[in-house]
Amino acid sequence: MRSKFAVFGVAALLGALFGEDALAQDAVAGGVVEPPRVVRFVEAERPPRASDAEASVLLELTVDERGRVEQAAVLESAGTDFDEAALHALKQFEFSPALKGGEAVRVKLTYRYVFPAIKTDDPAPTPAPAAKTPAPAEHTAAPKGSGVVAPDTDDGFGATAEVEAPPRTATRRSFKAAELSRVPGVRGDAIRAVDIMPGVLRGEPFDGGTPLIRGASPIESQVFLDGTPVPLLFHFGGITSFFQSRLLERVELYPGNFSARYGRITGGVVEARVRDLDRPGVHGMLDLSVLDSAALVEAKLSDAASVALAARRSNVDFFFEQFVPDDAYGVVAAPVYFDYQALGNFRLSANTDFRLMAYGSRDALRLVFSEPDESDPTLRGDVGGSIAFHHVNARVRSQIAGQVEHVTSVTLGFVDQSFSFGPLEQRLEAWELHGRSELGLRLSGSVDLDMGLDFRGQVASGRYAGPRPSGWDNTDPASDESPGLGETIQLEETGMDAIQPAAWVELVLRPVPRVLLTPGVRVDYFENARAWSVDPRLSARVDVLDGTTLKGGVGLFSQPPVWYELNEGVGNPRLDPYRALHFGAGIEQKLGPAAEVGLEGFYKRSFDRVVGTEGGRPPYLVNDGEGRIAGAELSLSLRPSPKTFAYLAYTLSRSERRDRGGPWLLWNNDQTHVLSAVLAQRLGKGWEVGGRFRYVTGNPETPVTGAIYDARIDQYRPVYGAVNGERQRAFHQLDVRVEKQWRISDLTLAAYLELINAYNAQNPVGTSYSYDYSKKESETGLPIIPNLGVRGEL
Amino acid sequence: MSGERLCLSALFGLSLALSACDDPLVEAQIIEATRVLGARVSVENDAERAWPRPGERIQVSWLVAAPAPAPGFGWAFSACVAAPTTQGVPACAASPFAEVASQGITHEPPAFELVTPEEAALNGAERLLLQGALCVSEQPALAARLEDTRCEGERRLALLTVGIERDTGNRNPTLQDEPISFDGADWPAPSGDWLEQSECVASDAGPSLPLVTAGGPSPRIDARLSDSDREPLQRFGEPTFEELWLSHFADTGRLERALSIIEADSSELGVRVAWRPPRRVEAGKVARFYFVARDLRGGADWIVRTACVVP
Repeated sequence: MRSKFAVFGVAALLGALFGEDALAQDAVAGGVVEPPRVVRFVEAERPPRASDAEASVLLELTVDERGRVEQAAVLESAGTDFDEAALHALKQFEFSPALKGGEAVRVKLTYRYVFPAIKTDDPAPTPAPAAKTPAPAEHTAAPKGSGVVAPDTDDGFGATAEVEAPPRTATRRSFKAAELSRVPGVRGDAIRAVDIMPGVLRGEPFDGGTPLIRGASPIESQVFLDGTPVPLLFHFGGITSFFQSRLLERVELYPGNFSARYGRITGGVVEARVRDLDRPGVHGMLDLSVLDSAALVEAKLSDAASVALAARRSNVDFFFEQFVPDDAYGVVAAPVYFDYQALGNFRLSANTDFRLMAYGSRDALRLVFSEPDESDPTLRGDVGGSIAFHHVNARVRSQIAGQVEHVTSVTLGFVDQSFSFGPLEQRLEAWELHGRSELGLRLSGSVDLDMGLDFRGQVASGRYAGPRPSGWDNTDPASDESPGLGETIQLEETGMDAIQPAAWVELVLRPVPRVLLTPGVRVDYFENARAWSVDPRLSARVDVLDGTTLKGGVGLFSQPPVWYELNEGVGNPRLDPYRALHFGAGIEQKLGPAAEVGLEGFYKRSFDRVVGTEGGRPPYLVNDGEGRIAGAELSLSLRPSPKTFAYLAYTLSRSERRDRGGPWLLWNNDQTHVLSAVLAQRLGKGWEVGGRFRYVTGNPETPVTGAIYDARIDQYRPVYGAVNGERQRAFHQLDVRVEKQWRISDLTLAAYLELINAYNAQNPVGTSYSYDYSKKESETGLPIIPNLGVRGEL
Repeated sequence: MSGERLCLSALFGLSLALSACDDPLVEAQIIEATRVLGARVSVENDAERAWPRPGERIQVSWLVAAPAPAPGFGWAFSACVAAPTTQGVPACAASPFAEVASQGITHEPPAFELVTPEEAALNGAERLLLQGALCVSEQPALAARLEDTRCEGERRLALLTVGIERDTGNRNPTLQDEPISFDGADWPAPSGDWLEQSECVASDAGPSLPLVTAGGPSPRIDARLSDSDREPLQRFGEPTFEELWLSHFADTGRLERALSIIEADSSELGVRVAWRPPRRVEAGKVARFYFVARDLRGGADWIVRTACVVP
């Protein structure tokens, strides 16, 4: 479905024009033809033994009504190797269809693909994931006979043209994985780089990792891998993501008003899209750094089959014990994480391809405390655990009769987790099934119809001894207290089911060429909550001027309680799904070919949120919470030269919650100002430097004004002042990355140094108190962390 | 899976935080001011029972410690039927059914008797809530919310939830009859009025007042509980025992930690904790040690021991 979703996107991408035939017809008809636009650019492999001089291939393309390249032929050759490389790439291009009178039409066009010269003093950074690509290609397109009209370089930093090019939804922030991998401070991890985008708040390290999107709780947002929810996004909640970035094509953020394709969440969506394995030959990558090591092998077995294998393992355990105090605890098993990915792409026929993918991740850690923690004696003895998941995904994608596109994807998953905190423990084994089947129909040149089925199922068994869950985002600070202060429950069950089928449909309407309307509706059934939801949604985009797009959206979103919240022994089986209304409006403005600015405002209202009862009394959890979030987001992307990528994002927002009819209170992670600035610059001779700076308002904090001694448990219970009545100091951090590359024949070697928190800012992460809460001090976050690594690519 | 994905992350963050942490802000095992250290409920005529049945009379005593010379204090407590809360500060389900207070400023720790409400008044409640305040050199007046109780000087707020015995009950552990030794020698309860004395000389030393030199080696203290102190329970349907916590405090020198835990599945019921004498004293000083055993279900017992620290 990717191409259909992108049909109307990239409003201002320059470079793709319509052909002579179409022009002639238009001249006769006197109509206006909207040219096809490139919505998916595939970089051509520079032939391995080709000269370093510039080469260009002029091709004639036939682009059909769906924007697919139907035919491609070489008009001006640059040599067989270059011709084949260009043809191979061009056949994978996707365009928005040319429109005439609102109807999609088939056109011919010429397209010049330019392989730029390779300067001997500049080994030309290798754009990931194309490990073997020696230099970025320039591509130009022109109407037949009119020469080169609109250059549109698309090298490794060429994200700016696509950063805010949502095809249908009001807001989609889309980055190439290769671009995000170069953001300093993320250790080459494209998924981790989502926090450079507007609307993404700063999460604490090790807090679970799901981004905080537009003032929503992490539980209200979801990260998907090609449509499948990801159970564990980051190793140890923040070190690195579970998936090799070089196997990703794009990372997209839908901060609100997302498509009816997505459901069961009320916050935002992050979609990581796996790339097709289409690189000829055999490629490899080995990356060794202080924190972990990663390897990747990719091979094209035939014209119809490609495979890739990747794995990563932490190195932290090799030196972890050197940094822990002898008297704090004994380390039985230092933190270890690993992940793996195996992909196979198979072309079953001209119109059908099949992908089989397996991936998984495991984190484990075990400590033995020498003595109980004074403030929280539950932290004692054997403390640790592991969490692992394994997914196997099969996907079939086909085109039927040229007007229908169909994708079916099924993922079978297994999650195994085990935690122990002294007397507290949690063990869970869960089988998951995720299925999607989606159909895209072109009803006419101005009407598309997309629909799909979306299934999620889970069968789990496990045991739990620990505090009773008190709801997410509970405004009662007692809900975050030490486990030893609350009631401890025990539960052992098998067959905890969650069956959640859904169906959705969306119309993509272009009543006039400059207007795109996308009404949709999604229907969910939550079997374990015995509840239905019907969520209508609407997005609109209007190209008011060339380079200027107004956009807006409104929609209803529903989310079921977390499955265990419905368990009789844990929460309240009578909970209902909760809902949120999203409103958003904004403008996107091109500022010439090298810059784009976007400005959006949003408002979200959630109701029937699941919150804890006062003091955690039965029935423990109720649908009696509300939320309201308002804000504005500004983004500015600059590409003054192909060697430079600059991106600035600023979010102004206010997020509030109200539980059980009480007063409106700031959300625990409300961050008024979030500023992120990224600059990456190639200096020549293989050097590349980059920096990322972030400034974020400190999180709200509830002061402790006193304490009451509880003689039963020999602990003090805090007495709180105004909930979230204070704020932590602001967070600011600079991350820096320097990389040097060398090219030795087909081998690219790189050494890099990344300094996370380069000037060692003492950023607050919370407040710690003495055992009786009579004294307190600020806790600071991670200090400067250098990460040195080497990478080899073939 | 959303709910549990935080756990290991938090654990790893915790491990990093502990890697970097230094000494705590205040050490709980050191008595530096007037403090409440424990409370014990005994059913009348059956002192080992910690949970009363509806209508039964109970005796409630609190353990209060302060560095010598201990100041006087006033206290006030109330008792109510507890609301079925599971988090935060326990709350009353109804107005207090009893209120008690000290007769002016005293050095005696709070101790009083109450009658548990009858079943009808309990209305199915599972717990009572006893809560009160101590004000140093002042008589407190309890506010509607305990935390709103004000004192001119030092204020200590304390509470205890007491289970109601119906199908199951709970018994207090007993420390009084368990062996405890100081550097290998039996350590009996102090004789005479050493608990009130603040000074001593070497010639005062004896089994209940072992002699220690300031700045000298750290004696080890061994305490032992017995199987009779922990009641059988079930965990995931399997038989187990209560977890026993032994808190230990001293008003002089420094115990190496504040808490020792005998895990439910542990067969080792002994506890050893080292005590570092003060580096220097000007004159002989009586050191007081407080040991409080708890079963975390409301059962408790304590003992107090003394030593003489000389220059």
